[in-house]
Amino acid sequence: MKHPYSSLSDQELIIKCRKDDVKAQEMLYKRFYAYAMGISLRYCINRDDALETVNDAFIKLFKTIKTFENERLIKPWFRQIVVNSAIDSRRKNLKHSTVLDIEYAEEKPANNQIISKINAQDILKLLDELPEIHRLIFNLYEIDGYSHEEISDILDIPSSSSRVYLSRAKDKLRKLVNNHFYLNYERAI
Amino acid sequence: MNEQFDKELRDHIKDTFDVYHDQMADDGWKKYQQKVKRKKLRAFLLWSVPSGMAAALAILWLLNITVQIENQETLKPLQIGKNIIQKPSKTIHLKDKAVSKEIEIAMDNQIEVSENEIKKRETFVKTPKAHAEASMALASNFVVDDYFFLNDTSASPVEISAKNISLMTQLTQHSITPVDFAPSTSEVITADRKHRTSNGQTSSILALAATPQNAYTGDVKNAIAKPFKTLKKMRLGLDASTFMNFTQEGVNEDLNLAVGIISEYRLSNKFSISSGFNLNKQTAAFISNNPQQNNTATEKAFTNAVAAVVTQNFSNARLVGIDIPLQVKYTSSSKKINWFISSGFSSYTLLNERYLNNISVVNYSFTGVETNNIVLEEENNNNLFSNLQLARTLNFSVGINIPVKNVTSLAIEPFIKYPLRTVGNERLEIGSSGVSFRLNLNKSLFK
Repeated sequence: MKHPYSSLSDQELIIKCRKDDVKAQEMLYKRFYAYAMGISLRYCINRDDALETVNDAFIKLFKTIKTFENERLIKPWFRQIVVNSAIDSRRKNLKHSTVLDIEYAEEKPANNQIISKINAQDILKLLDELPEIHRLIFNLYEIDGYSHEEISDILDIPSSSSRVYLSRAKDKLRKLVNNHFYLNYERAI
Repeated sequence: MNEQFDKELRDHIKDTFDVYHDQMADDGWKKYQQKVKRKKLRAFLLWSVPSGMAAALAILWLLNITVQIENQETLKPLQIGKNIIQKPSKTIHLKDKAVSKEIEIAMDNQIEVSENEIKKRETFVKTPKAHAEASMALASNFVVDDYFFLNDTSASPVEISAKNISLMTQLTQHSITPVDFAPSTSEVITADRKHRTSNGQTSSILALAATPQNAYTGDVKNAIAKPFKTLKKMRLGLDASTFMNFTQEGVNEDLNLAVGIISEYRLSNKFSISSGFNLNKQTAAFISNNPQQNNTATEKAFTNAVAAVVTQNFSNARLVGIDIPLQVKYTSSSKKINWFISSGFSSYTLLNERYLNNISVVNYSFTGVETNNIVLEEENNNNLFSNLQLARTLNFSVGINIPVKNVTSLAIEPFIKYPLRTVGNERLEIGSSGVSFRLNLNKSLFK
């Protein structure tokens, strides 16, 4: 059964949400749920944490939607809310986590052709193998476009540390991609 | 080469998750609704607890006022002549161990009392019913060594009204002490001395994420739909303060503590109103002119003396009660320092009061002058919430808000409370001055 508000645009849904229309909120939730989960899963260890983060983000969204300007696009604004919620939920874990040096096999030359074979679940597995702080900084800098200064302010770390962690994250991702996918790619060939 | 790899990996991750598909949206929506419902309930409970307590105190005060009015209508002033005294309904034996005297009182008879004589009469005197029925708990228990004077319920099976305290003290005065300690009729203790008039008000605040009114179903929806909009402007805080008390006799050097919950409701960008409750301990040192205590001490100290005179009655009071403030707050909008000024009134209700009385008595005997120091301890914790004083103090404070990370803020607030009304059996005007530390809780803590 088709949702009665499924034909409405994002802006029209926002206008209805401002009037505390539950059906409009439900429609907006379901429309942006996958988008929010895609962002949240990159930051959170497991799916339950990711869903908790997504719901927190939607709570903030509906609270501040009345101040949202109609001319703006909702997606970038909501993206920021989700990222901030994910950081808040992961922040407490950063205090208790220790950075472990993962030893990998000898580094093989990176093969760019492998990358296109990697699907979303593989990416999440790769990110899960990174230490918490590395994963956060990689997501913030490489995927969500935060600068090192912004990251240092958010995570309360020096910007030099942010650069170091990012470099280590990228090194490890290269190694992980090669270790997990290079052999399979060679076998396929 | 690595840079190229990194760039391609980054772009691939972005593209993959920009079109990420997840079929669990319906399940997510249900969990979202449950979460919103839990947050609303939690916020409502946190808002209603301090408000409910304050409202309960106010209701108790109203009930107490009603009872007091009824008692005042039936209670008649005790008429005491110089030598004719009305008696309680049962026989009481008072034994002075030191002197081995025994004073017997015929409860149903009038007794003519002269200076050292007690004679009985056969005349029957009716005592008002209200006096007998309202004699349950005395305002005070007097304990002097092994003596239990008057109404200690563990020692005496007889319930004696406050009137009879006066009766007994007058008997001892007339029969033992030639020095004129006879109380005037204005010193007669009536049965309602323990009652006090008061009133209380409250409001409370909590910040919350906004959700639509009908985002959930159930009975809670109607209950909190209306106040939920109000809850957006509310904030809750945990308060702890340390202070010193002052009375007319001066500043008491004891350090007192108070803890409680304060809620704040934002009226505008700069003004807000706050209320809540604080459990605190008040101390005061004062010179007492309590005739009962003086007479008791005299009775205790008097052995072979011809006369005994109380030269000093110095008391230390310990009062435990609940302070209910109602204040208006002005907050600055300065970017550098977030400061505020607050002013208002506090109501107060007693839970327990204890007095340690140090009485100095000079005995004049045939052999010389002797000074005794007697300590009387008096405690009353039988009348919880019955001593509710509306606007007992006028409050004034200034303070600053210090943000604590990104979650809460800490307010440091020096304050002064000037007494407007008396409190306790000794009718003390106790003011206080100190500093309060308030941890403001906001929505981030209630995720």
